[in-house]
Amino acid sequence: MTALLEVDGLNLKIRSEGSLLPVLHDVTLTVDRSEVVALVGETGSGKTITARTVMGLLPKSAVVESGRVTFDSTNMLDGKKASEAVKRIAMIFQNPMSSINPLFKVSRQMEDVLTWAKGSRALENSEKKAQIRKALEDARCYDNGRILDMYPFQLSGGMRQRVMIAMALLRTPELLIADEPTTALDVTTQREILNLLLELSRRERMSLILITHNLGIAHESSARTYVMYAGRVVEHGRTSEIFANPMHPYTEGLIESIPSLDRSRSMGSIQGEISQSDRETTACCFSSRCPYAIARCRSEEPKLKELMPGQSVACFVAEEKARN
Amino acid sequence: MIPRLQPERSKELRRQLRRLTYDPLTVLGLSILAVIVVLAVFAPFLTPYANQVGPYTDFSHAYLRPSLAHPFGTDNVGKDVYTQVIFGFRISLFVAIIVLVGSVPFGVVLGVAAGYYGGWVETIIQRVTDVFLALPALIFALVIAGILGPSLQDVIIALISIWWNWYARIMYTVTKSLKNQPYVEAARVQGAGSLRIMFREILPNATSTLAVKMTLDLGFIILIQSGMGFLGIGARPPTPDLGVIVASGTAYLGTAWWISLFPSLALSFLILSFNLIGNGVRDLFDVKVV
Amino acid sequence: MRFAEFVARRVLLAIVTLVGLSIIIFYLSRILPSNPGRLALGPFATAGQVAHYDHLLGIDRPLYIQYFLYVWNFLNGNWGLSLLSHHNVLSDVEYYFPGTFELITISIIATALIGVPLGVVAAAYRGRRTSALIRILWICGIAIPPFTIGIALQLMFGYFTNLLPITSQLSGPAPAHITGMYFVDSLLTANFPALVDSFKHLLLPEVALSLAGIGQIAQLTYAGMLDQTQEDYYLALKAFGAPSYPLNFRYALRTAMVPVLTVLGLLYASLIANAFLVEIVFAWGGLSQYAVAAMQNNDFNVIVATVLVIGVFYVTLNSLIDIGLGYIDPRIRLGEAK
Repeated sequence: MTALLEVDGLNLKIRSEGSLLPVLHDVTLTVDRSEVVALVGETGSGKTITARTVMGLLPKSAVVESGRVTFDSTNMLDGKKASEAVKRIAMIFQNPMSSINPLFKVSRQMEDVLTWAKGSRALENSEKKAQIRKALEDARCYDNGRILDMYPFQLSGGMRQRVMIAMALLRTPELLIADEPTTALDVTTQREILNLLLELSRRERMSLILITHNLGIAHESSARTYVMYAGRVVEHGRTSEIFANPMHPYTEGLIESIPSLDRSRSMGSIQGEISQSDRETTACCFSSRCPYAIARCRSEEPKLKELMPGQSVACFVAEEKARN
Repeated sequence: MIPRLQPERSKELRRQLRRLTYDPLTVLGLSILAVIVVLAVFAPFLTPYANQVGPYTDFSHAYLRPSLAHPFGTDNVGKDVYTQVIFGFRISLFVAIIVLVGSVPFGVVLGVAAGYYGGWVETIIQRVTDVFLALPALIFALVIAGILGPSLQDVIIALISIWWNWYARIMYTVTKSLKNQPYVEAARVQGAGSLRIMFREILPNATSTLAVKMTLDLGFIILIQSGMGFLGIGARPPTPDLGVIVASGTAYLGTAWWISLFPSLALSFLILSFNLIGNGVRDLFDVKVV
Repeated sequence: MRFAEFVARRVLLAIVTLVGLSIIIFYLSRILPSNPGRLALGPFATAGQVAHYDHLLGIDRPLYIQYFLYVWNFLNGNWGLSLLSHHNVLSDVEYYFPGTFELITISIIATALIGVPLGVVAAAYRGRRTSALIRILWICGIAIPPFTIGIALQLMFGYFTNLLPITSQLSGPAPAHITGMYFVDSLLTANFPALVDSFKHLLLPEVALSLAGIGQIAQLTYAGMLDQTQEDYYLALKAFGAPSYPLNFRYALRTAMVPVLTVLGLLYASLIANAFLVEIVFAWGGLSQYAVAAMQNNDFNVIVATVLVIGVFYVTLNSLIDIGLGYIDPRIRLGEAK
């Protein structure tokens, strides 16, 4: 069975002040139908821009040098061919406070979203209203009559995120990309939204890409995880395996930095941050921050290798360990 | 409009100032201003007819077209227009600086006090600024100067009495918004007195806004003051105020257009330079001026 | 805070401000001149004439009584006599105001109709060159004094060429009096020759008056539209499939217009100041010319009255802007929820 979404060897650069800056390097990932996949990495790792490439939302300065992006056999890099297919994908964003236009009523924006997704002539007014209400209900926005009449700024962060989810549902997507959907919310609401997304994925048989910097969230929700760093995929595999047995030093660092109440050890952290030279290097992109880096790491680029069944990593140190 | 939290250190400031020179428009503004300032400061040495400033007539040389001897021509009483314009720059710059010196400290102090103390202090200062800002500046200044008297001094007093209100307003808004910031609370908890808080914690955050506004205001004050001179309120002939010179030439526009045109252009360049610099400074700090 | 309360507060503030203004202007005009009677009548009047004049002005009474008398008279339509015209200032103002009102109102409409589309179009073609052009238009517009533009226009169109009239509002006969604004009246009475006449006279003063505003509004709209494209909701709406027309002209423009409308309103109010300069240059014959003549001649009744009229206009306009803003931006209208 072919995967729903396939990204293969994606190389993306951004034109900036006369030169081309690398942003994504050889990114490969797949999402199957009805699957929940996590895309994990810190700010600047390239996870959002990968999602935007799938949706065709790249800035004008972006150049796809090579690679394929296919959704249900449709080439998503070709704007014209992708325009119909992209309607079966929905994306929600991280900051619900600013991701919805504050000056237009909820009802107005939802009607617009529905029209854009399904065409204005496809539905009767009453049918439209019914679908909107159903979407709000599915997104657990009860009292939707009142909500529809409100302006977004009158709603709480969690409610706004639910409205955005409802808008996404109006598209009846086969794939939902959620870019850090819980980051801007408080802890309790985070849980609610996450559960909502998972339940929707289950019920509607909708694939879900969960983009997050929090490996803990990935662990709780996804079947498979891709770890990204400096525009590359450095490790991927079944989430449970990655969590129990991280192979890449970066993944290890991420796990250690998850705050936890029931562990007595102190919280670790990874020093430094992603720099542009990390993205441009022909060696290992993590070598500048890696506590285990050997000489080879700074001169050669490690490729993704399946070192255990279902788990791949791009790291020379991990390769060494696996050999022993 | 949330300004930076840390006061600038002088090295940082110098680096910022150097960044100013990267923008060509700002450099243009600075160059124009530099030329004008040099001309104005050394006016008596740089103008061929410095003796003509003040009451002076020489009708045999009146209405002369621009020539090598008189690059801007001569006016209706025979004075060399170029000389008048250069000395006019002196007046414009002088007025602009004095008005700022007189109004900024006063306005800033009152504004910060109003925002910080609240209560009746706030109410009184707010109402007063409301009244002084209830008319466009030009008109209010015309009235006050018109009533006070026909001299440049009275123009300056009139402008100061209006201008401080803007600074009070700005500092009031800034102070109010920063009053409850965590670092102010921290300072208060540490026992810092009110005055210290106001001047050490709150004020430095407004320096970028103030810098931009003051630069732009220099141009704006000149704009208004020359307008007043044009209307005959404040400076009057034979004071070589640029607005006055323009006005004196309007009767002869068809025949001796140079009398009005050159001082007009001079004014435009002067104000333009302040605008260019002000915008450059604003871009530098990325500040939204109210 | 509900909307009615918001409006009431704003109106109260306006009234308080106007009262304060009237007090200041009145006291200024009475206190500062050491001898208004002498000032008004000149050095050749006799002491008796000056005393008589003082009595006429009521200067011999205590100041606060003078103030209340003045306010009472003002509200009753007795605005004192003008030294120059010898009319009740009210009738003079009624006569001159429409000219100024016409000038500034047409100016702000033109500014909006030219400046906003200019900014929107520039944002569509965004790039270094358009950005620079709009900037230059803006900076030069506000840097060049209105009287300079006016004089330059007069030279270009009146003296060096003879394309347009350069003074006053009309050359031929005036249309029937409905509003007192010649352009409007000729429209209303379908008086074509008068319409063309007044239009030709309006052109140059309007350019002089509006140039600064057009540059400002174009720049503001341009920057505002560009800002919107960087906003989170812009990307989100795009992700939801928004085609570019509703995205830009409905969502982005509406959101960007809030500051633009504010500035348009403030501009309208401050145009009356620049009108002072433009009216003198073009001998337009409006309120500003009347007021300036009064200031040059110490005609205090006129000064006080016209300043109060301008003050009422300005404060009312600012209040309307605040209230309008409060209405348009539902955040203010309905009160921010947390």
